[in-house]
Parts: sequence; structure tokens; C-alpha cells
Amino acid sequence: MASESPQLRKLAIVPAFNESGMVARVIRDIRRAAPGFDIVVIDDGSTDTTAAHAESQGAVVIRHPFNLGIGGAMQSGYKYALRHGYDVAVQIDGDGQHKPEYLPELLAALQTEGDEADMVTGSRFLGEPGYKVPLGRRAGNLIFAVVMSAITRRRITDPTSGFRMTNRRGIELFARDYPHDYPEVEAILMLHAHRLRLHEIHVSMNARGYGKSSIDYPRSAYYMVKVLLAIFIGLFRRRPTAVEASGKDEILGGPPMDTGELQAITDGKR
Amino acid sequence: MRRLAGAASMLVLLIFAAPAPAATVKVAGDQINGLGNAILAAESGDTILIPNGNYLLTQGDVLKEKDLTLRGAGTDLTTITPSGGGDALEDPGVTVDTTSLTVGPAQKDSEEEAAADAAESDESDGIEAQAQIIALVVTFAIFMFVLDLVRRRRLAERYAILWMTAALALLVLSIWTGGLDALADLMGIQEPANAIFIIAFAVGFLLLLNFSAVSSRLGEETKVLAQEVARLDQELRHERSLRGGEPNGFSGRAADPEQAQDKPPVRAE
Repeated sequence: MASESPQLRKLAIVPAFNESGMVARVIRDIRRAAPGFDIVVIDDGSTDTTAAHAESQGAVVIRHPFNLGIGGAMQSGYKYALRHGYDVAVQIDGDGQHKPEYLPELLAALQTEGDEADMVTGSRFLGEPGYKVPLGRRAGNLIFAVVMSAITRRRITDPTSGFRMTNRRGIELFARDYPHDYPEVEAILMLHAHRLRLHEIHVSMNARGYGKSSIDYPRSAYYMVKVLLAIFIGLFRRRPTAVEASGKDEILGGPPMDTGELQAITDGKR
Repeated sequence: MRRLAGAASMLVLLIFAAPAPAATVKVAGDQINGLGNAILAAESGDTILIPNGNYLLTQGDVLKEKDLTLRGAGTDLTTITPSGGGDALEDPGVTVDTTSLTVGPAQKDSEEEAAADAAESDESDGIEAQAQIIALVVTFAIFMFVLDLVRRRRLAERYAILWMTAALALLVLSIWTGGLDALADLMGIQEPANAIFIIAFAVGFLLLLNFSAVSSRLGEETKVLAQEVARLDQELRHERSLRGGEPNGFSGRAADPEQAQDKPPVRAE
């Protein structure tokens, strides 16, 4: 894959919910830091002018008729990536938490790792996080990190990071099935279940994302329980794709992708 | 059944107890403590003579232990009122000479026992007619309401079947009270009404679980629909912008020409 680098089609998926104040800047930053990336903004049912701001920057905007949550938004992005034949997709939050200047590093890791990595995550905890991560958040992350490292038998330091780049295999997997809310940890589990490999590189992040985080105390309790339950159940689910199980390929809503390719993927999973 | 067995054992006991030399203890003292004191004072196998009046029967445990015989001065003269459940009177070792005294209704010392007794007395006549009529009317109303919802296409048939089955089951149980009693017996529940509650709770629980599953599926389907709508919306705007008209301010991207090539036609599925 590394050899065909110039032809790689790369997509930045920017989920945004009522981020009219930030989304334009995020798009500009991506353009500046990684000009090779196309940008699709998933406006997840915003009630403000997020879509208009994104459009004014020339990004493709997919507008959900109502709020589906981060999981639904990301999946929309992956579906778009799959339909339009992208080789690489990266998630960058529309709230400005993720720094686009790391995109080249993520891409380089995805390529140099070659067969070793299907997804590269930007981890805050491989080094200096770049902002003061609240203690509760840190503790929660640590629990997930320990659990996920044990399950995947790989060192995972930041399983809750949404700053992640994936290759074609990851795009195909996530377009088919993506966890609903608080999807990051579960997504790792899905990757693992399908034998895709993870790699982490260090990034620093902005605190901006946290200030508006939807995760307050009662919700973080729900978050912990929900994700741990999902992990637990996921362990007993050999093929964790509901879509696949029901055989609804048309769920992608478009023409099926190259069947040989699809076959290779599904074979690889088993 | 139990009473028959009690009577039989009483008979057996009378036969065996008769030859044994037994003293007779007369109850002295007031009607509240007298009988209890006499029971305490008696030796095993003794007969206790109770004079005129309504005596409170206490010390049931001692009575059972000593296998005493209770005799009164006449059914219309002597009454004993068990405090508590009065189960000592049914002990096979205890003989109550019912030709010489009357056993009054037990004094209730707790609501629980009262309820248990009520259940026992209910067993024979089931739910009262009044409650039965109400149950009939209500279940019939539910039935008609469900039918009407189906008629007005507000309720899918498969849910109608579910609810009508539930209403039907209630209807059957409210008419055929013997069935409810049998059911309660089968479940080891004394009070038939409790059996109904438990069954209703279980059925309600399962229905809710089913609805949770249904709504999960609906949520998933809704998500896919929303994503599809968003995709089509984006593609439509994209096509329009390619044709030059930009009605909603969409400004095309640099990579557009290439993308327009491999954009698949929207399939009508």
C-alpha cells in the first residue's frame, strides 16, 4: 500500500453537532495541515448553522435529518468513504479537540506499519496529553485501557480516543456496523474481533473538546457500565456485525463494492 | 380433607387415650387467663373442664405438647376463643370435645394470619361475584378497545393478537374461578388474586421486553434511514451544483470532477 501512496484517496470525517463556531476552523486547519485529504462533515442534526459554515469552506456536508449520536455520524462518514472508494479515512472531531497537524504522522504510521496496522489511533497517554485530562476521565480511560489491552493482547493506552485513522478494511467494517453511542472502545473490540490490527502513536490534544463534552458524572457512570457491558457481550459474539448477520448488504444503500474485494474481507474475518 | 383427617386422628386418639388414667383439671379464674393457667397446670393427657363463659385459649404450644382434652359445659354455654391461629386445636394430640363447647372465631393477632385465614375461607367460593362482574366488564372493554384500534389501523394485527390473547386469558380466569384456584394451587400461592398479579406481572414484563427489542430494531432501522436520507440529500445537492445551479449555496470541491466520474447512479431499489 505504501508504494501507491500518491494515488491514495484520503478522507477526513468530521462529525459535528452544533459546532458552528468551530467547524470552519477545523476544516481550514485540516486543509492547511493535510491538503491531500478530502473532507466530509457529518452534520448530525445540528440546529445551528454548522452545515452552512462547513459548506462555505467547501467541505462535503452530509446532513442528518435528526441527531443520531456520534456512532451514527461516524458510520455515515465511513459509508461515504466506502461508496466513494477512499483508501484511508480519519476521524477528526468537529469541536477542535483533535489537531490536524498529526494527520501526516498518523498516515505515515498507517503506511509504514503496512500489514501491521489497519487502524492508527492518536493516543494522549503515550506522552504528554497536551491538556489537563480530568482525573475521572483518566481513571475511566485507564480501566478501558487495561481491559482492552488484555483482550487484544496489545498495548492500548487510549481506547477512548476518537482521533483514529483506518485503511480500507476498517472503512468497510465500520460502514457495515458501528457501535451506537460512546463507540470508540467498542470499535476497537470490533476491529479485534475481525482480526484487524491497531497501532497507537502519541498525539497531544486540545482541551476544547472536553469543555463541551457530553460526558458529565451520571453519564460517565452510564458510559462505564454501557461500554463494559458491550465489551463483555462482544466477547461472546463471534461476528459482531448485526448487518452482516442479517445479510443486508443493501444497507449501505448503494451498489455493492467489488465482490472479490468483499469476499477477501469476509474470508479474512473468519 | 384436612378436617376429615383431623376427625379421624381424633377418633384414633380417643380410642387410645381412653384407657389411660387421666386427671381432670377445672378451669378457675377469669376468662382471659383461666384457661391458659389450667393448661399450664395440667399434666399430660389430662382433661380440662371449662365452665360457662367465653374463655380465651392461650398457651397453644403447651396444649399441643401435653395432648390435653378440652371439655365444656355445653355447646351453648362454653365458648373458647383461640388467640392467634388456633392451630393447637387441630393438633392430632389435642382433643376438643365439640359436643360440650363451641370454638369461637380466632382472635387475630396479625394481619398476615387474618389474610391467610381469609384465603382459606375464600378457597371454596373463589372471587366474589361483584369482582367477577367488574373483571368481566373490564376485560371485555379491553377486548373491544383493541379491536377498535385494529379497525382504525392504529394497531398492527400482530400486537392486537398479543393483547387480545392477554385479555382473553383474563376473561377466562375471571369467569372460570376454579381455574384460577387451580392455577394458584399449582403455583403454591394461597391467595388466587396473588396468582393473577404474578401472572400479569410476568406477562407484562415479557411484553415490555419484547417492545424493548422491537424499539431497538426500529432505532437501528431509523438510523439507517436517516443516514440514507442524508446521503441522498448530499448527492442531490452535489448533482445540482455540478449543473451550475447552486440553490443552497453549496460550493463544489476541488476534487469534484474526479468524484463525479465514479459516483454511482442512485439505484431505485
